[in-house]
Amino acid sequence: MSGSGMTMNGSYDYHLVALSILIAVLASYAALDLAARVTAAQGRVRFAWLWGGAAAMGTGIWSMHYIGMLAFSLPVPVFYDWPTVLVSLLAAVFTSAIALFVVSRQKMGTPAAMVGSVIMGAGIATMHYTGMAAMRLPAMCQYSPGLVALSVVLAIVISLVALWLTFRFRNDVKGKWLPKIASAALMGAAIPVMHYTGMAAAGFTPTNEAPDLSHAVSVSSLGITGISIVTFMVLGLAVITSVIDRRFSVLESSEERLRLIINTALDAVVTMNAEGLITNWNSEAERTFGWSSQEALGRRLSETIVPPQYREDYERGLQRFLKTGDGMMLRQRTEIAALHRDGHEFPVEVATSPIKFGGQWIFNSFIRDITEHKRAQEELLNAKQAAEDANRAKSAFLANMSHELRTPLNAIIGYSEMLEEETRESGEVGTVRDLQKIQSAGKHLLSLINDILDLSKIEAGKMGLHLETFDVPQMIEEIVSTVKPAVSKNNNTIQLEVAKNAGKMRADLTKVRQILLNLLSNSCKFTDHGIIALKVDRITSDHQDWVQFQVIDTGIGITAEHTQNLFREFSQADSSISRKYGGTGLGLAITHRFIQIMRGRISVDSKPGQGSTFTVQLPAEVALESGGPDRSQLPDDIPPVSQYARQDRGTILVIDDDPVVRDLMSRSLTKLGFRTVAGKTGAEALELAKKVRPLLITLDVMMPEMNGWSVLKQLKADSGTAEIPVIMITIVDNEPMGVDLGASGYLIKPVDRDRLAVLVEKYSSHTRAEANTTVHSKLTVHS
Amino acid sequence: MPKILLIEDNEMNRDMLSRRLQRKGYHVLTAESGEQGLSLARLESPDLILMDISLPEMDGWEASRQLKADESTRHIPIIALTARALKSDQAKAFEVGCNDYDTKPVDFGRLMQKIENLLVEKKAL
Repeated sequence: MSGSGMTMNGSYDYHLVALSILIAVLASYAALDLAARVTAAQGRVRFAWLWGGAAAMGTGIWSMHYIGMLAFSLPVPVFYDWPTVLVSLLAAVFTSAIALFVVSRQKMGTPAAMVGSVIMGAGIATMHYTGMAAMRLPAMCQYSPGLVALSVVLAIVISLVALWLTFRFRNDVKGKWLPKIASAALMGAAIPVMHYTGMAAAGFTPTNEAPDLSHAVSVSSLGITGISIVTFMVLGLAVITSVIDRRFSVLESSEERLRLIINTALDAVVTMNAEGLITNWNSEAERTFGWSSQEALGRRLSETIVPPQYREDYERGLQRFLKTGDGMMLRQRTEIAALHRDGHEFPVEVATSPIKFGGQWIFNSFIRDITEHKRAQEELLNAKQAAEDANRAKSAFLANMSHELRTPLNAIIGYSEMLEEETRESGEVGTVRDLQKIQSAGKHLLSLINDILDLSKIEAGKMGLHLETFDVPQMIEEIVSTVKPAVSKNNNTIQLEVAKNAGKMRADLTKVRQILLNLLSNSCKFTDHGIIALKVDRITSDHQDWVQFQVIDTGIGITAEHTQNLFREFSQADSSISRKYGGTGLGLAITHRFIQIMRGRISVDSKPGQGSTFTVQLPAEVALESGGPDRSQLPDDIPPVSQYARQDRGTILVIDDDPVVRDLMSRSLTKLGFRTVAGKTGAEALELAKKVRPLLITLDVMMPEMNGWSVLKQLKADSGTAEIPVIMITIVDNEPMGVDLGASGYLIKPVDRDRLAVLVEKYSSHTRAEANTTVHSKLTVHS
Repeated sequence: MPKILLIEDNEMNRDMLSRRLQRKGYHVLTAESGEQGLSLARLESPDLILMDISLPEMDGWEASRQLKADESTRHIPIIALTARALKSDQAKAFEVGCNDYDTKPVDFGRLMQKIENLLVEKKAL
């Protein structure tokens, strides 16, 4: 210590010295923590952390200095010039900022560390000596150059150590608090070392000059301010940090969870960025494609898993999406070929979703290897094909058998009939009887074959329903006349009771006939000198309309035991029955099945010796089995002609060069209630069409000069006649042409009256509706 | 004596039917195929044609169509003989121009009735 006069001796309050060291340690800890945050952050957040951290750390260092000053007392009062104090604070903050910047970069090489520590050391020294310069006291301050130099060197060395420690431990955000505390302690202790060395370098000599106290504040207030700020900062930091830490850990644990989910997924999860590079590759992706995630990350996706022949398309698709937002393969599942690392291609199912994240597009795909699946599919298809082939073979077999079996039988029956006729004429009665036996055996065999074939068809599921609407009483009439010979054979009489409302039903006529004939012939067989009654009713049950047929006989009846097996194939009540009564035992089985197919019911009520009653109920409207094809190919709800006989339903133009045809057509149409106008040639057709504006035109194709097609074309070309429906009548089948040219219907000569009626009905109702005449309001509209 | 043309490919059916018809007093011509039937019809101009539907190569529908399309044979009534009794077959018979149809195996009495009806009609025309 040098100077004129006596140097003053300062004294230290060791409590405050200790406090200053504590503050330094706290500030260092904060600095370490902040360094980690700054490193982890990006963008604006990083900036915030950096300057926040600099402020905290700078203030900490500065507070330490002034607490140190508070600990030091001189015999004279000491004040501090607060503007200078402020400058020293700024110096501290700035230095801290630089320090944090240096330690938060990705790498800190030796040169950076050296430069950083020099700057930081210089900064700390600046801060210290500026702080000293802020002193206002009636004394002179002199510095020992050696100690000053030492203090600066110390500052630099300490900075280097501090920087290194901070960089080393910056990533230990969670856990491992011991190293962090240790390095904080080290750093924290080092700063006071520098400070007190600097203090030792200073010597104070009292002067008589009054200090400039214009901006002076006392140490104590500075000290208190300093402590408060630091405390608040450190506390605040601790709070913020812990909160963020917690959020981070929650985030991290949920992040961890998601990572686990993705890595344990059984689908390959692959993420790609807008440049086409792989940014995510889960464990399943590794297994599926043969690339480890280290190898895959950063590779071009298309070069990794897209087969070479599709790469160009893929890239183009990606570009198109980025430009237009249009993506064919996106937001849906697609099956495509993928490439394995070893070069083989395999089928995969891909679901890709584009995501906009932080202003960038990323593409997330879930990919599944479907090789097995495809194989199973193919096997299924093959099995289906095989089953269909077998099915077709079965149908063909049945059809063939049917034909093959019946043909020779027809010959047997036919010839024996013929020979019977011829022999009858010649008078050889014996031979006639023999021939009759052949005939009846043949007929019996035929019925057996028919039954067996029916059952085979039913078994094979090939027995379809051919639905048609028919008149019930009429059918009954036909059946009765058919069974008459069988009835009289055993001297029976037949009684009929057909309800008045029996009306019509829609069912498979052939099957219904077969059912009734079977039941009736059974009754005839097992009844002798008795009565066979046939009752037909219409009933409602289960909210449905049914037609009920009852066959009641006064025959031998059936025992309760036998009724159980009644509808089973080949089980006649008694084995002796087939010998005595004939029959195959198949009839009832077939009857039963037919009723089943039509969703009807059959029941039997019988007492041995008294007779039997068979009750059959069929829906008045039989529905097809679900999914079954409707074999009826014609619209059969044709209104009977008589209904419309006397009404004027409009005018129809009939064009034909043949007068006979013209006449016949006109008569048929008149019977249906229309007025007709006839024309002979194409020219007349066009003229009359325009003049009469008929409801409908029937047009012959084969006419001399202008044929029907040309006429049709011209009719459709003229707006006055284009709307009139035209039905082409011809002997040549050329329906497609008709449709092309705009014909509404097509009939082949000779014209079936019923078909004509249907077509005329169909097309005249359209025009009728448009014409809105009073006539049609009285008529019922047909669907 | 009315002339009937029988177009039937099955030998036994042909034989039976033609003999029985002859015994009823008709002059019977036979053809084994659609082609043969067509040329015979054009040549002989029968009064009635019995057309089996299930013929080889050209089936009975096609043969009927052609007969009705040809000026020289259009007027000859045709009875289609079909093995199936579906309404759709009936409809098809009329569509191609047949005047009537019957089912096989032939009920001779019924067939005779139909033949007679058509011949009477034809005579009336």
